[in-house]
Order: sequence, then structure tokens, then C-alpha cells
Amino acid sequence: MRISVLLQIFVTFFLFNSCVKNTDFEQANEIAFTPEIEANLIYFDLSANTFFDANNGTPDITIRDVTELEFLDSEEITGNIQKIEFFFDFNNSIQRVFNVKFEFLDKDDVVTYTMETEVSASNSGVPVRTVYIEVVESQDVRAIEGSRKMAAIITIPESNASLTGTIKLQSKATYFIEY
Amino acid sequence: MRFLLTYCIAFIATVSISAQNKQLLYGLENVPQSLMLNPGGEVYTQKHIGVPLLSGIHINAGMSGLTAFDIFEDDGRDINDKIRNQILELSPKDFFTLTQQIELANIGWRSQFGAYFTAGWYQEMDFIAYFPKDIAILATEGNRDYINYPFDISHINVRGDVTSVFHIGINKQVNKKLTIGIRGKLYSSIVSANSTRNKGTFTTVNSTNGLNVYEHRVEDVDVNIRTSGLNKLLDLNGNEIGVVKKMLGRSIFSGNYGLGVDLGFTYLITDKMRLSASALDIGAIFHMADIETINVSGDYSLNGIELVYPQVENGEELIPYYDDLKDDVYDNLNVETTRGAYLQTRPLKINAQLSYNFGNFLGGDVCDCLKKGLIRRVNETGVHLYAIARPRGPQTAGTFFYRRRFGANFSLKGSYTIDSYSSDNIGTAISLDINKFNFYIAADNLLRLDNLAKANSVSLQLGLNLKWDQE
Repeated sequence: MRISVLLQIFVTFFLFNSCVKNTDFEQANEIAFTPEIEANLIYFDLSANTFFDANNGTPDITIRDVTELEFLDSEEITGNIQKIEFFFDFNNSIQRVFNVKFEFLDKDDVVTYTMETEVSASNSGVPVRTVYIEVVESQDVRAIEGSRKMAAIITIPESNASLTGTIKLQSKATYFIEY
Repeated sequence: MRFLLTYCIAFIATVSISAQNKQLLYGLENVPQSLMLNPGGEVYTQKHIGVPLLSGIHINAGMSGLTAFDIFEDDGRDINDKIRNQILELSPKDFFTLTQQIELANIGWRSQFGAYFTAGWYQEMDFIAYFPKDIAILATEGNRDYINYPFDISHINVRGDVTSVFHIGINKQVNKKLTIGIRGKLYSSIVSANSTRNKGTFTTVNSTNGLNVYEHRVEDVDVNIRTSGLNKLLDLNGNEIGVVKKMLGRSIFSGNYGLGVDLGFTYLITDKMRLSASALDIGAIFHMADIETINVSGDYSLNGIELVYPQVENGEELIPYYDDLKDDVYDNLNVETTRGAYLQTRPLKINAQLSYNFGNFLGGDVCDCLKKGLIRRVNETGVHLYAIARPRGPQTAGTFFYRRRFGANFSLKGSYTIDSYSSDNIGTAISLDINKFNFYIAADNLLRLDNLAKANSVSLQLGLNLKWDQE
């Protein structure tokens, strides 16, 4: 049975001589992907008469609109966002300073997080740019992750029927994710 | 007993590592399973019975362009940097494959007319996934550093099949020089899924229409996912026993059947030169039960959500911007689910081998050669070529081998293979007959045995048969 001895040697060689060297599979615990995702957010282009109710002849000092952002409280991302950088880019050709407030709301419409900025007035109808950046981290991110909606509230100090120009917003968010 | 134990340990220890290409087993005429690789191989056997479940075991895992060592080397570098570098270095033509076969039955017998019949049943799993490079970049790095870069959706290319195969074959030595064989196969698809013909791009571009900061564009998308036999398994919601029961039932009655043939020949050019070739799995499966085909097609450009501040009185509903957006996406990206039957070809495999035999004749063969033409000598060396049809075109391998026979009952084969995975793959095979038992084992990538982490693929086949040689 010399042949079977040979076979034993072969199998043994294969079993015990094959191994994995100079590797550290514990490193698997350290694997973390950190994608940075750029995504558009809301935008608007509102003319001055949005702030004046022609039917009643009265100014609308504060206007508010809301959109759902369902993805914010989705299971896929909850807990994985490390940081959000909001970027709001206003162009205002109305000769008024605006106050703009962004509110995040949960499903019961309770405000979870607020951002607020002033938009510079135009001097002579030439558009003036105002860039507002807000970086949200740690607990505040958790608050936003628990939200479902975003409201944008625009306040003009005074308006009348003859006011002209437009206020425009373009916005995006950068989500810093780790998973 | 000790032999069996060793055998079991060898099996358990190697299931995790083993290749689609069975260059080591091809042409090993003492092993009945070599007929599965060339139905027109030479047969010196009167009859054989494979030991059920143990006669043919084959498992392969391979990844081109990447080894575990590349990622897990203990070199002090940050593993995430290494992964990032590997993702950038790999190409969408790199692939991962996993193949497994197990024979449930394999028998053969020689008829009184001299033909050798074979019949059997085996189960096969075959999975290939090309590296979805752009999707991996998007998932791991995001689009921030890739503004204006079109992420290519066609990088998604995956196919997986679990199939049960019944076969019956005939092998006949036609004259002194030529042996031919053919095998008919009945396929029963246990589960099958593929997404191999996709196209389209996803690009985030700086806005060209002035509406918002970016435009997120999905362009010229056509994504197809076809599954057969999957939904009913998913319906079982992870009930493992239920899944196993269903899969076992389907190995005979799946409702998704197919037909195929294997063809092969061996030709003695001179008494020393042998040429042989085979084509395996020329066939297709007609999927008609439990089918789902999902198609997504169209174009879409996303600007974000435009707030229009409608004049609303108290109690009036707000504009459902988000739902409108979703509707808009669905309107533009046409999602269709259909259940029409479809035909899927089997992955065709081609083998060809040219060998030169030299040295003394094998004891029993001397007289045979005068009578029948079959001659075996103690040394054999040659080249073997292999190709398999894959979703992105054929994958090929070339092998040089040397084989030494120590009598009719024991032979050793060494091989050097160049394939899609590597260019220095050394393998060896042993075939051994002890009394009526035939045992074979073939292993690949021996140069990596001292450190399996460096191997792109390792192949191992083994099996145990009962065999009665020709008088």
C-alpha cells in the first residue's frame, strides 16, 4: 500500500501546508465607506408680487411653503449621515432685505431643526447674490434624520403693489455618509 | 475507515477554495468523470458506479484582478485606502465566479456491441458577477468628486443559475484511431437570475437650465432583471427548510426545463500523437414557470423641488411636491414587470487537447494496441485549451501538462495554466485505483498553497468511484 501512503502525504500536504500568511482579517472590522453625495434641494423663483395680495390689496409679509422629503427619515440612511452641508444661493433683484427660515418638521409637524438667514436687498434692481452655508453635525443631524418635511418661510419687512424684481433660490446639500 | 475520514476532511477543508476549467481532469481516462469533460474520451473500463454524492465534487471561487491578500495584507496601511485603490484599479471586465457541482449519481457500462453507455444526475451552481466599477465608486465615494462624470449602469452584469442535470451518453470507438461520444442532457432549472444587458448613465452636471445648482441626469437607461424560480423562494420569507424542500423538489419538477448535448472525440494522429476535443452544454433552458422580468427604461433629469408658494387659505391642502416628483420619475422612467417565457442558453464550454505520448507501453495495453488501436504509454505531455461563453464574451485558458502513469492504476499529472485569473497557475492531479475503488483528486494554484490569500482562484476536484476495468 505504498500508493495510499503517497496519497496520504499529498492530502496532508494540501491540508496543512496551505495557509494564509501575513494577513490580518481583523481589519475587516475597520472597513467603512464614506461616500459624499451632492444632491439638489429646493429652488424657487418668486416675483415681487408674490408678496402682495392683489385681490385684497394687502401685503403678504410672510409666505410659507412646505415639501415632504421622505428620504430623510428612511431606514436606509438613518444613523449613517455624519454631516450635512447645506448650500443656499440667493439672487435678489427686489429692493428689500428678506428673512428666510428653513424648518425641518417631523411627521407631526413639530419643528426639529431650524436654519435662518438674511438675504441682502437689491439697490437698483440689479440682482444681488447672497450665499448661505450651514454645516450640520452630530445631534443636529439626528434631528434632521427624524424629519419628513422641510418648510421655507420668507419674510419681507414691507411690500406694496408697485414693488418689482424677483428673489431666486438655488440649493443643494452635501451628505457625508459613513457605513 | 481512516481513508474515508481523510477523504471527508479533505472535502470539508477544500469546499471553500476550489475552477470552472477542469484541465487536470480532462483526458484522465482512468477517471470515469473525465467522460463528463469529453464524451468521446477513451474508455478502458467495463463498467463504473460513482459513489452517490461523492463521485464528483467540484467547487471553484475565483476573482480576476484581486486577491484577499491585496485587501487584507498586514502591512499597516489603512484597509479603506487599500479598498479604494483596488476599486479604482479593477476594470469592469474583472469578474468574480463561483461554481459548484456535485454528482448525485453516475454510472457507466459497456454494451455487448462495444459502446460505453453513461448515465447520471448532477447538480450545478454557476454564478458570475462582473465588477460593477462605476456603481462601486458611486456607493463608496459618492458623486461629489465626480461632477460631470457619467456613471455607467452597464457595469452591472450578473448571472446566476442553480440547475439539476440528468444525462445519458454513449461512447464508441469507431475504428483504431477514432473514438466519438455524445451525451444528451435534460436540464431542470432550480433557480435562475440574470441582469446582463444593461445600459445607461447617471450623471450629476452643473445646471445648464439655470433652475438649480445641478441636474441629476439618468440617460438612455435600459435595465433588465430576469428571474425564474426566485419569487416563490422569496415568498417563503427566509423559511430555510421550506426553501430547501422547494429547491429539492425543483431538481426534478421545476417547470423550467431545457435540453442540451455534449459532443466529443479522440483521434490518434499517430501512435504517439492524440488530438481530442469536446463541446459541452450546447443547449438552452426554456423558462416558463415563476418568471419575472423587470425592465426600467427612459431618461430623466432631476432639478430638485420647486416651491411655488401658492396663495392658500387656512385648511387648504399644500401642494404634494414630493409625490408629484415621484410620479414624474415613474412617468419618465418606464418600469415594466412582465412574466413572459424566455429562452436562456447554457454557458457553452469548449475543450481541445493535443498530446504526445512516449516511453514504454502500459502493461495491459500492448496487446490492445494491435487489436484495437488504443495505446497508452507511461509518459504524456501536451497542451489543453479551454473556453467558456460568458456574458461579456468568452473566457479562455491554456494549459501545458505532463502526465506519468505508474502502471494502469496510478497516474500523476502536473499542469501549468494561463487564464483570466493568473499566468502562473500550477496544478496537479492524482488518479488511483485500489481494487475496485477509483479515487481522484486534482488541485490548482499550488504555487499559492503557502499563502492562499494570494490566490485569485483555486480549483479542486475529487471523487470516488467503483470501477471494473476491461478484461
